[in-house]
Amino acid sequence: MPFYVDEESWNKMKRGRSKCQSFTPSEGRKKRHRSVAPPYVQTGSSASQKLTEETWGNLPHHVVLHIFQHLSLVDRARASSVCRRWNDVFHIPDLWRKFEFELNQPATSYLRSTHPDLIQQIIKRHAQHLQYVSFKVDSCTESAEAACDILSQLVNCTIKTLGLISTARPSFMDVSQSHFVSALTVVFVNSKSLSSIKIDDTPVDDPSLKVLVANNSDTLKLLKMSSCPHVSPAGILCVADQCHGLRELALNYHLLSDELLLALSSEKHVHLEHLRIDVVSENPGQTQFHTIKKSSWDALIRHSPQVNIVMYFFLYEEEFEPFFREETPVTHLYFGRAVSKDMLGRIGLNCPRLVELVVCANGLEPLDEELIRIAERCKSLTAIGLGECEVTCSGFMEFVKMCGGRLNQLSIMEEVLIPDNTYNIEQIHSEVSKQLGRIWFPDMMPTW
Amino acid sequence: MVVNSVHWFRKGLRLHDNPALQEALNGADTVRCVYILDPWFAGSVNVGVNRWRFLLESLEDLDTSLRKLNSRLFVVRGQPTDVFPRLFKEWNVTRLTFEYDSEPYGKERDAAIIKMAQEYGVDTVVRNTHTLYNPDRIIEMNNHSPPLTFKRFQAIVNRLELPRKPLPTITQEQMARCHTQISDNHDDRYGVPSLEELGFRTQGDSSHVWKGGETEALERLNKHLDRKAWVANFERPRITAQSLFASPTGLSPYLRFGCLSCRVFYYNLRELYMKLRRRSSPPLSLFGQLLWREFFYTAGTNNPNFDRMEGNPICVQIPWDHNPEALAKWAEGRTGFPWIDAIMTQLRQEGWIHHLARHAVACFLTRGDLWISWESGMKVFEELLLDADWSVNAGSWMWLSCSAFFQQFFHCYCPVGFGRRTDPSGDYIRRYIPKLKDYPNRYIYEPWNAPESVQKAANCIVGVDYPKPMINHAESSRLNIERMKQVYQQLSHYRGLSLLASVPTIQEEAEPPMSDDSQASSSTTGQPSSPTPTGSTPPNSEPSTPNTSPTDGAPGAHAQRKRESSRRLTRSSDHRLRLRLRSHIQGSRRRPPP
Repeated sequence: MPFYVDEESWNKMKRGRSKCQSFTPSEGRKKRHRSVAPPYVQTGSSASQKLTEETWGNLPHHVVLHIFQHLSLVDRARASSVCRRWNDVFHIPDLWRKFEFELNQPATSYLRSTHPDLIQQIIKRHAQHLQYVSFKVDSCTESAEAACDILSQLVNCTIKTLGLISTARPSFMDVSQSHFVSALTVVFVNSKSLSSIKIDDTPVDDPSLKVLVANNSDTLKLLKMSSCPHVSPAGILCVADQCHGLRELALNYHLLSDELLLALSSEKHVHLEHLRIDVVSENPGQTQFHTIKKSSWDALIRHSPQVNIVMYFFLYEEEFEPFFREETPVTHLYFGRAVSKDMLGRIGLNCPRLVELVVCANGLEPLDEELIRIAERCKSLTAIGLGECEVTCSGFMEFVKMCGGRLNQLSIMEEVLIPDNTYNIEQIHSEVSKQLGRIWFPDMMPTW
Repeated sequence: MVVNSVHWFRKGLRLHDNPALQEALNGADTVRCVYILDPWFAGSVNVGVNRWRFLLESLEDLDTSLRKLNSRLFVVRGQPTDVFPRLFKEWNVTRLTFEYDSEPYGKERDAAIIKMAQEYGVDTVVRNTHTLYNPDRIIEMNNHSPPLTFKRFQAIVNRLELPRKPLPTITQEQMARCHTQISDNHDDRYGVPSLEELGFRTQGDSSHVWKGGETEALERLNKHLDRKAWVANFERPRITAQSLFASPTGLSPYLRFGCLSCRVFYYNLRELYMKLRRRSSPPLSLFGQLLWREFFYTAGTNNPNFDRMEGNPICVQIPWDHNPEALAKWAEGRTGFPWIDAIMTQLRQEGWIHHLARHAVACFLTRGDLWISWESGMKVFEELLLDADWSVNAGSWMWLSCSAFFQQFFHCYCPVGFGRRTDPSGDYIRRYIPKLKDYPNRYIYEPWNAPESVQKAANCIVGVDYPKPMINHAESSRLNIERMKQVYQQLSHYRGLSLLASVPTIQEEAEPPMSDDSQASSSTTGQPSSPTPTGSTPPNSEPSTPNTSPTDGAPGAHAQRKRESSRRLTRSSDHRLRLRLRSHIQGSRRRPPP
């Protein structure tokens, strides 16, 4: 039996949307309609009018599909109420391969939500067509719970990519762990061909990862699970041991172990392309960070010479002690808060693969020496960003000269550069531009 | 023919360099200087007592100056549209003059008044003096769109002739030629109202820091120039702890209300520089503060939605949190971060904070920590900040929250470290949060980390006498950086420009085959299908990332992008914007260095 979209519910949906973004039919869309219409559509006689109506209804299936692929969901829904044939096209599986569920509460978000009626229709009619699914939730627990409820109903699905994305605070963390895990397990068990999963900031745990591995070990390529406190090093090791196609992994430092790196470097394993590690401490001095053996890093690089190793540090200055004591093959380094001069010095010594370095803050001592050493030793460095730090203009010039044209990103806050006897800010701008072969300015904030 | 002029003061509350007022006097038989104010409206509008006080003081000062010229200021109660027909008839007005207002709301109001004046046979004369340049001229020079980077703006200003020379102040002779009878009950009918009349309860203390008015403005200008001359250094001043306190040479509120002409400031600076530097012509950086103001005025003049995210073509749509409780803590200085709380306290008490302090609290409220919309912060500033111009306020908030004028979003200010770098001893905090005054320097920026014994000795227990920090900064900055990446990765015209987002990650699996061309090409290049074709891909542009790719082409995401582009007026303007941004931010490498 053909399904007709209930006009009232679509109208509701439209109203729901207009809450945050005015949605008026745009000129461009009308034009597109016209361009696909047969030339005689415009004629005025009643005979051709009739012909026109028939023609619109009889447009070949693939043409309507083509048009539908250009339309937004709301427009497709509107069009689907035109006639039976268009309504059929509305439900073609091709159009339902990807879906982004947006779950927000009016009290916590400015954003619209996917209408509940549509969610129900998708679960009923299109669950088996979904392949690329993401959930965007706001900071409200109810939104995350709603996402879990939908997940647990996707029984007949073959999802390939799944993303659970918190657009504000990580609200999945507020969902009861059992609720979250059982919902996630439904997808893990039923899909059997998951290739990429993004579940950062969620209460996923070891047993659910086991289920993931048991059902999707052949297909899994990407796993992002930064800040998932219920996963243990053993849990992630199990994934690395079994999923030999894993090419990209994001996790927190406490999950990183020598065993994990060795597992990722086993012969059976494909080359790892991207490893992201977040190093976070909640309270100063209370977290002890372990070290990773140089031999484990070496094994990883031997196996995956091209791998990007991205490390985000959110530590207190005194906590950097265990890091970069030995050669570390990190490629992208981001320091979210103050980092010691000492640590930056070690980076120059021990990070030969470094490509990108961002230092958000540092003490009041100039970083000249450290930067120059980095320029000298990190031959692949092409991007650098400095926030609340200090560098003398001469030191900075020296750094730029040593790196030369390979610096394609150079983002330095104006306040960082301390004018000295050799250069002031104006001169720095023209000298650096000369060195880079393009016009360059320091970043600035408005003086207000 | 008799010429009866009315000069309508709005901003531009001064007698020096006031071309519109000069026009009012020019050949006139009578001149009346009018300010229109609605006392009933005053209580309801979102403007704090400090701003009202500053305005009333400025009006008092104008009235005093006019008295010296045997004239008076007429403060007329009501709304302009109601007031003018009455005044036109009562005073037999033939000429109305006022300063040009470039902001969308002002332009609309003025257009209505000009039309009304026409109907009454009144000539209107409008002169642009609130900004150095006419914003429309800059837009014209930039191919009819406002420059969206400050560098671009400076490049255009460099091509412009110097701003017009300021005019001298109104003289007694000029005023005598159009002497106007002042009625005996002038004070009752047209006197400057008191704060009480506007519905503010004022306490006995009048130790406010910023005194409104032209007289004060000119004194400050002299001190400002004296200090510059004495220092004889035109480099950007180093920020010290002292910079955070209100300075007797600060000028920004006076520029905002027009108690000081920006052109007078400009030419005074210029002359001083040329005198001390043997006639060499000054660099643009000398006028930094003035130019930033011009920049935002230009960006806002044709954009009625400049002060909001929705419907604002230059504003990146960011899924901010809606959290009234957290917003109130920020606005009232109860965040538990002494640096943030001290700034918000100073703002509430005095109506001014240093621009670095503005950066700190704006970053904290938006992308740094609380993830609350910049619009909420802008409204609080509008209420409290003496120098909050509509354009400058909205523009700066967009800038600081990385919502427009492309920023590297890793430039975040730490609510502990940033203050400590500026004022290691914490004197600023001790002044505005006396409760913390006995904390040792080491803990004054993070009292929650002080051992209990230290807290007891300082007579201030965190969690009892002073709030605990409302948020874990390390955690929130980690999350927010990810959110910003999410947002920026979806904007194809910013692709590859952000430092943090440029790390290449693996390409998503091939998209399901679609018959449509744009989809097909998107699956091969890894670029998400976008309603507008992007220009050449920047060299380090990243492939479609798993962050966005599961949803690329999904109805929701597609529709969202489509709406986004339709908000950008036209498709081609979006494309142009992209190309412009590219060439400003990174494509500029093609041009030879100067």
